[in-house]
Amino acid sequence: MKRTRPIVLGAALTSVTLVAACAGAGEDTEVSSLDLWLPPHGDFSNASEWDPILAAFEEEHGIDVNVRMIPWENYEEAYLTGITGGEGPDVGLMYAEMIGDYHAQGALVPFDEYLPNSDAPDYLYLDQGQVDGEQIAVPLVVGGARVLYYNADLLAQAGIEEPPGTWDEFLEAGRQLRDAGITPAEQAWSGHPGILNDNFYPMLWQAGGELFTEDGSATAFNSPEGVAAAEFLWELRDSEILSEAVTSLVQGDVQSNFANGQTAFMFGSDAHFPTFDAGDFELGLIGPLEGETRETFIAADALVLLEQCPDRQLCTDLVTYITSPDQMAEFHELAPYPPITAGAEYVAPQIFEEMYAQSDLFNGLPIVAGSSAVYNTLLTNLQQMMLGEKTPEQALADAATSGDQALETAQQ
Amino acid sequence: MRATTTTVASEPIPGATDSGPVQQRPRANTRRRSFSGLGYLMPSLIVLAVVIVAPIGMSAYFSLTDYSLLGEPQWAGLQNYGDLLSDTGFRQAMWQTFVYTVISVPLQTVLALVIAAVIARRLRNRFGGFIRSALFIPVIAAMVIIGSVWRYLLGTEDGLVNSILGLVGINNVNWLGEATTALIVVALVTVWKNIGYFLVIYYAGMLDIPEDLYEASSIDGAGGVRQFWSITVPSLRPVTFLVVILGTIWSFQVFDLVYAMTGGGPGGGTVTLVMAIYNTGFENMQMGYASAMAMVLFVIVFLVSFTQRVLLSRK
Repeated sequence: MKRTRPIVLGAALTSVTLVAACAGAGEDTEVSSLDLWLPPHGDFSNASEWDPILAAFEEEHGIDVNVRMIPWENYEEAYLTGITGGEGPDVGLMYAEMIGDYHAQGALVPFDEYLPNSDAPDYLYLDQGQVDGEQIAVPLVVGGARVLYYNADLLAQAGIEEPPGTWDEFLEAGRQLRDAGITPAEQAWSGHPGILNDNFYPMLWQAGGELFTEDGSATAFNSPEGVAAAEFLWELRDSEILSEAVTSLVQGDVQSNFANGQTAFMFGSDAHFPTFDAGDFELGLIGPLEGETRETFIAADALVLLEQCPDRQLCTDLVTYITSPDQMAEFHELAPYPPITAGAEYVAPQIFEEMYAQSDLFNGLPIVAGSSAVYNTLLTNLQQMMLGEKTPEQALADAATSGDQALETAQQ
Repeated sequence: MRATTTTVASEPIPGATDSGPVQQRPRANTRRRSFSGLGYLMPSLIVLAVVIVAPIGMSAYFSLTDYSLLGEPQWAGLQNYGDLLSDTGFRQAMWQTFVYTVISVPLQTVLALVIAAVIARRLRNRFGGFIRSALFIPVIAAMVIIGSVWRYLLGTEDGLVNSILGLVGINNVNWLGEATTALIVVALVTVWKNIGYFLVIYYAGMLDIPEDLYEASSIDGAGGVRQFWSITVPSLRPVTFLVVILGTIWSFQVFDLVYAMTGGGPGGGTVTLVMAIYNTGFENMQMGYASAMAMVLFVIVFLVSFTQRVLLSRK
């Protein structure tokens, strides 16, 4: 009697395990839901706002798409801990700094094999999501171009009849404003490396420089062009076109000072246009300044396919569905960015339409593993330059040394 | 329950003489008692093991690996620790954390002690209660809110602090825009935030000092200052140790206030040890290296806590 009991229990346990295993195998073949992680954009801030956009896809495929809205604060942390804990998304939005690292770690699946099988629209910015010829990401939000705003009333007060278009003209206008007792310009030099999108990258590209070598294995900003960009910044600071206070300002400070009519110029995103346009002054827009080129920064946040996606074709179909003109039209009602596909309607402020038509003006950050560490060290060193602790040459040389080391570590 | 406190009846042991010590049989019961104690402790032990011991052990292991969280950890031996020795960024973070601690801990300890003494000896009324409550509000306020408010107050061109200083002819100071002043200011805001907490601890300690001592010293002609130095300060020695050690540990762990006020800038001038760990682990995705940094922090905090125990156990 004593011997039969364990045998019976063992047999029962084995049966239950086999049944469970069979059931599990059955479930694997049919995906019932996908997890989609997105950040808030514009006035599009709740997961429920995606429900009407996704409804047709859910109905067609008989699945649920669970949208999780990840706040911008600690965005990278949420992804890292979520994916490590096995709770990450099947499809998610990442920016270039993240994509490089996740791609290098093998956490992303290229779309190439699956896109031809999808009803993919005619994308305008697919190249922004490519690494070594592979389509690692599909841009969802391409916009936020960095431009130069001006307060025409303050320029008139200083006797400036024509707004500047080049670096030299900008320096001259800045000196005129300073001499007239008007704050010429402000930049935010306190905070996250994201401030370099406003403060440095456009100048680097306008000087003809690059952030990385073509293969992404080393930094390229420590070049004559990079030094020219850093020297331009230092000239702005040294000639008091930018005040001493810029080292303590965050973007909110700069934006509110400009919106209140206290500053003549502001480098910032096109997304601020409605706020500034509502200000009590005549708003002007220069777009990118001209150095050697007129290039500027543009954000290119993209959808990626995570390794854990249970059905990669289905996940790719979800991506092409979301990025199709009809769905994007609904999205752009609350988040007015320029279209990402040919034939889609332009709904962003009209003043930028002509500028966005010139795609050669814009650069996104390249997808490079280890780039976050590079931007961190670049910010620290440029801050030290703005404090007067380092020359432009020293700042870029030190940033390049640390940056190259970080790239080597990340790409080993 | 098996637990019992019943003493074992004395029974004669065969072979033992009547005059000799009677050998009892306490061993089984003692074991039972210790096992029952273990049962009571087990929930706490499990929690401690899961949320403290295991993470420390895992961190110690990861500190010996090259690990990015997304891939498998690769054994690297002591390489991360070797790299730390030559890492100027890490040394800068260590130094700045030390400076921050040296500014904030003595100041918050002395101020909390003095204010608590004034309230306990001179203001045991509603006004004293109001001061205690007012000073405790920053303790419960969120660091991010505190950071934002102080950023506003310390604004270079239109901040309240510079406006007040301007009234007495002092030019604008770029408080958060210079590395040196930024670190000092962050330490002072920490003092402002912590003072209410330590004040309450001191105040509670002062209520335990017998009033007779003060009355007797008054009869002997001792004034308030003399009483403070000769009665209050010596009586509160264990409390002071606690306050200093707690303050030191908190200082070494500072992160959110610095993050909210300066983000580690300008020029890395306010990057603290925990901020360096965060940046290395979550932004640069070097979890193994960040774990090595965390182990250094662990050793520092452990040594501080150990020192506290040794000093407090001395008579």
